[in-house]
Amino acid sequence: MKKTAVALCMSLMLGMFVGCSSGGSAPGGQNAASGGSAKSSGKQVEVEFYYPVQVGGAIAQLVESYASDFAAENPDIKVSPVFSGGYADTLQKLITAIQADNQPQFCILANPTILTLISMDAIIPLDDLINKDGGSEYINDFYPGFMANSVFDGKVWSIPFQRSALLMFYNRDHFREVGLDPEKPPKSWEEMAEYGQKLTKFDQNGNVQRWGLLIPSGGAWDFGPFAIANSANGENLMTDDGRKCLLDTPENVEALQYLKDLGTVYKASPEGVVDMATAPANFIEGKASMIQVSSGNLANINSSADFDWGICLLPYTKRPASIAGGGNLYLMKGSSEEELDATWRFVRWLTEPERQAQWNVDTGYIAARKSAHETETMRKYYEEVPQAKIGFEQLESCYNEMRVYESEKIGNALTDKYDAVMTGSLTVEEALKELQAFADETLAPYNK
Amino acid sequence: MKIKKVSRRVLRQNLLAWALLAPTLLFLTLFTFYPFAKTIVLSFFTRNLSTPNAVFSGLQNYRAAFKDPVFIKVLWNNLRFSLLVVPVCLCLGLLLAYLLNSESKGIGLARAAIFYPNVSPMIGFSLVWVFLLTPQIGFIDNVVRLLGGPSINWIGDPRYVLYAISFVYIWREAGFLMIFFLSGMQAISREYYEAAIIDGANEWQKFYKITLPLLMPTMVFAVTLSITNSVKMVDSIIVMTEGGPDNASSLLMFHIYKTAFTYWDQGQAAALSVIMLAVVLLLTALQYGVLDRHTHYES
Amino acid sequence: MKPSKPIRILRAVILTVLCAIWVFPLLWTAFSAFRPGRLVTSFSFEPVFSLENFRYIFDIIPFASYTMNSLIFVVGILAVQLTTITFAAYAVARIPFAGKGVVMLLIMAQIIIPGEVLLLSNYLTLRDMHLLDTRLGVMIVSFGSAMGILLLRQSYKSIPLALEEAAVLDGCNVLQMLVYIYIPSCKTAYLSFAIVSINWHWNNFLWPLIVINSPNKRSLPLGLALLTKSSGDAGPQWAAVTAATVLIMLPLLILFLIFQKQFIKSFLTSGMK
Repeated sequence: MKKTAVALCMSLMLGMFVGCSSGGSAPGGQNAASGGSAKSSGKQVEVEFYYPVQVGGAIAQLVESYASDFAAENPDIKVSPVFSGGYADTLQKLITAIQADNQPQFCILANPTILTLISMDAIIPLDDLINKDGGSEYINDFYPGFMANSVFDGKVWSIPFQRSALLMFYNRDHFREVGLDPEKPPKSWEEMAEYGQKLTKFDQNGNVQRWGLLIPSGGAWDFGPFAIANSANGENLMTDDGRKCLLDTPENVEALQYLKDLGTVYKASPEGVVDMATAPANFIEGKASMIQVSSGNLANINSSADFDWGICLLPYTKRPASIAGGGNLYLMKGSSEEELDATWRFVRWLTEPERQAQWNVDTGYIAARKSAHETETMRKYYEEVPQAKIGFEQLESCYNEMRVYESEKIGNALTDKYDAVMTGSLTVEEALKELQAFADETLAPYNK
Repeated sequence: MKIKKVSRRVLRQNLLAWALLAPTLLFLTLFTFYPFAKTIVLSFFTRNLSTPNAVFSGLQNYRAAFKDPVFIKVLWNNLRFSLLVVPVCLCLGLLLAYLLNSESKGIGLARAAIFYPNVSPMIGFSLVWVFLLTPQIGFIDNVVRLLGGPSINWIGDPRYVLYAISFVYIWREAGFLMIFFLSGMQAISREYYEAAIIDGANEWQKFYKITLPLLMPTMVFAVTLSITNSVKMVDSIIVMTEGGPDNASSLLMFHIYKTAFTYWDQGQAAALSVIMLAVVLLLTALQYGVLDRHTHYES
Repeated sequence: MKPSKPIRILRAVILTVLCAIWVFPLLWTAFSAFRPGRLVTSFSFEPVFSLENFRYIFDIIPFASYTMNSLIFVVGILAVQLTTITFAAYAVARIPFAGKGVVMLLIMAQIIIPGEVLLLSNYLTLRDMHLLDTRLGVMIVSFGSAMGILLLRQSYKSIPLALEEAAVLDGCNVLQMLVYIYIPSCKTAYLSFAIVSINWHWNNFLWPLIVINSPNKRSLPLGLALLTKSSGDAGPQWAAVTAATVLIMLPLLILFLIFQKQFIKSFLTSGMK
C-alpha cells in the first residue's frame, strides 16, 4: 500500500519532468527565433504584442479577434496578442522582457508612461513610418487632445488607441428631487459646490445617506482638471518638455483648497479620501449624485443605472479643462525591418476609422480619430446613448495627463500630498510646497 | 585504528548529508541565492530611469533610504503592523487549533470555515473586502449604521486604514497558522493526556503542561513564519489601498515593490531589499536564540 | 480525554462565533455570485438570483485550459518539492555534518527573501536556460522549499531515535528508512505543507504572468486578472469578480474538505501506537 503510493508519486514526478521538457523545448526555441530576426526561414512575419485589460475581460476577446481577423486578411503576417494584466503589470512584463532582449514588437501602455519608456530607450519614434505611409494626413486625423501625449521633442512616439477622458456623470432624478434643473448641470466651481451641498442628504443620526459629489483621489489624474481650469494662462502641472513641475502656484493652492472645502466647508463631499474603484458603484446605487470619473465607466453605468442620468462637461473657473487618459500603441526597439513593416500595417489596420468606431461602441473608449466619429456606426451610437456625445465634446478641452520624467514617482508623491491635505495632516500651502521641493529634487538629474 | 574508523564514519555522514541536500541547494542557489547575490551587488550601484547604466555609488542607496521620510514612515508602519498581527495571529491560531482539535460532528466544516481564506485567490477576496469596507454602499457600513453606529471610512482614513489591512491579514493568517498547530497537536500521543486525567489535571493544566510544551517545535517554526510573513505582506495592499492614504498603509515589501516596479529605481530597491533581509534575519535570530533554548524535542 | 460539559459548551460557543466571523465574506461572495450584476453592489436581500455572472465569466475565461495549467503547475511543483524537502529535512534533522549551521542559515534566508525581489534575475536565468514561455519555467523556481524543510525538520526531530537505530540494525538504508519510518510518521506535516504549497502556487499571479506568453499555458489567476485589473478606466466588475473568485477557490476548498479527514485519521492511528 505504502510502496504503491511512493511508486505512484515517483512516476508522476518523472512524468512531469519528461512531459515538461519535451513540451517546453519547442516553444522555447520558437521564442529565441522570434526574439532575434524574423528573416530566418518562413515567409510569415510574426508580430507579438502585449495588451492590458482596463475596462473588463470582454476586451481580451475583442483584441484576440482583431488578431485573427487581421491574419485572415494578411496571410503573410502572424499576430500574437499576449494578455498582460493591468497597465502596471504590462509595463513590468515588458521591461523584464526588454532586459532579456525578448521584447514584443509593440505594446499598449498608459500614455503618461511615454517618458519612462524614452528614458529606458525602449521605444522608437514613428515619424519615418508615418512619412513613408502617406505623411501627416493620418496623424492629423487624431484629436489634438489625444495626440498631445504622443508628441514629444518634435517627434511622434505613439498612436492613440484606447483613449478616455474625465467626465462628470450626474443623476438627473436627484436634481429634480432637490429642485435643480437637470438640463442645467453645474458649469462653475461655485455651482458645483452649491449643487453638491443641495444634493447631499443626511439621515436622522446625522450620518450621510447620499453625497452630492464624489471626486476620487487619483493624484495628477483627478487634480489635473482643477489645476488647469484655474491656472493663470492655461499651464498644465508641468512644462511641455517634462523637466519641470508647476505645482506650488497660487492658482493651484486655490484649486486644492477648493477641493478640500468641498468636504470641510460645503459638506458636499466626504472628508478624507475617496476610492476610485468604488465611486462608480456609489453613483449606480444612488449614493452619490455627481461623480468625476473616466469615460470608461460609460458602458457600465449605461447598463446598470436604473434612473435618469446625464453627462456634463467638467465645471471650471477660467477655462474648461479635462484630462485625456487611457492607453496608446508604442512600438518597441529591436524589431527587424520586416517586423517593423508588419507591425505598422497592423497598427494602421487597428486604427482604421470604421474599426475605431466599432471599438468605441463595443468598449466605451472614445474613438481617437475624427473621421471615426463621422461614420454611420457612431451616428447610431450617439442616437442610442445621447450622453456619450458630451464625452466627445469634452475632447475640445482635453489636456495632457501629467507628463514628466519620473512621472510615477512624482505622481505618487502628488497622490500622497493630496491625501494628506484631504485627511487634514497638512495644509494646502505646506503640501504643495513640499511637493514642489520633491519634484525639483527628483527632476534635478534631467536639468543638468 | 579507532580514530580511522571514526573519521570514516564522519566522512560517510558528511557525504550522505551533502548528497541529500544537493537537489535543494541546487535549486535554492540557482533561483534564490545567486539572484539575491546580484541584488546585494546592485545595492551599491545607482541604476534608475535617469541613470540606466549602473554606476557604482557605494553606500549612497542606503543613505538615501534612511534620509527618505517615506521609508521611515514605512518602517514604523511595519513595526506597528508586525507587533499587532504576529501575536494576534499566533494566539488566535493556537486557540483555533485547540478548538478545532476534536472529533465532533461538523468539525471538518468548521476547519474549512477558518482555513478557506488560504485556498482562495487573494486578488478576488481583497476586492471583496474593499467593497465590504467601503462607506455608503459597503455591507459593513450599512450594518453599522443600521445599528446606529458612525459611518467610518475604513480604508480611506489614515487613522483606521492600517487596522483594516491588519484585520484582513489576520483573517487569512490565523487560519494558516492554525493548520500547523493543529497538525502539531495531532502528533501528540493521547497517552500523555490519559495519564494527566488520571492525575486529575483540568483542561487548562492539560493545555499548559502538555500541549504547549510539546508544541514548542511547531511554535518555533510558526513564529518564524509569521514574522517573515508580516514583513513580506504585499498582495492585499496592492489591491486594497496601494499604500494610501498618504502612505498610512504602506509596508516594507510594498514599498520595495513600488520602488522596483513603479519607479524603476532598481539600485534603491536592491538596497531596500537588503535592509529588509537584515531586519528579518535579526528578528528570527533573536527569536531562535530565545525559543530554541526553551524547546525540548521528544527523544 | 473528553472535557467536562461546561467546557465543551464554551468551546462550541467560541468556535461558532469565530467561524461566523470568518465565513461571512465567503457567504457574501457566494451569495453575490448568484445575483444579477445590478444588485451585487446594493445592500438588498431581494430573493432575485441569476446565473448571468457565471455565463459572463465562462464566456471570457477559458476555464478548462486555465484549470489544466493550474493543475500542472501545482502538482508538478508539489511532487518535486516533496522529494527535495524529504531528503534535505532528514539531513538537517538527523545527520551531524560539517557546515550544518551555514546550511540552516541559508535555508532560513530563503524563507525571508521575497520572490518579488528576484523576479528580474530569475527571468534572465530562465532565458539562458531556454525556459521562457514554458510550464517548466514557471515551476522550476519553486522546486526547493525552505519552508517545507523547516516544517519537516521539526517533525522528524520528534521521531524517537530508537526507531531509527532499530531500523539500522535490521539493515535498512537511508531511503528505506525514510519510506518506512519518517514519511509515514509525519503524514500531518506533509499534509500541512502540501496544503500550503498548493494554495500558494494555485493563486500565484505575477510570476506566471511574466514567464508565460502563449495563451494555452495561462493559469487561473490570469483569468481572474481579466476581471480585477480594470479599476483604472472603469470600476472593477464586482459581480463577475465574486463569481470567478468562488469558482477558482472551489476545487481547493473541496480538496481541503477531503484531506482534512486525513488529519483525523492520522490522529486516530497515532493515538493507537
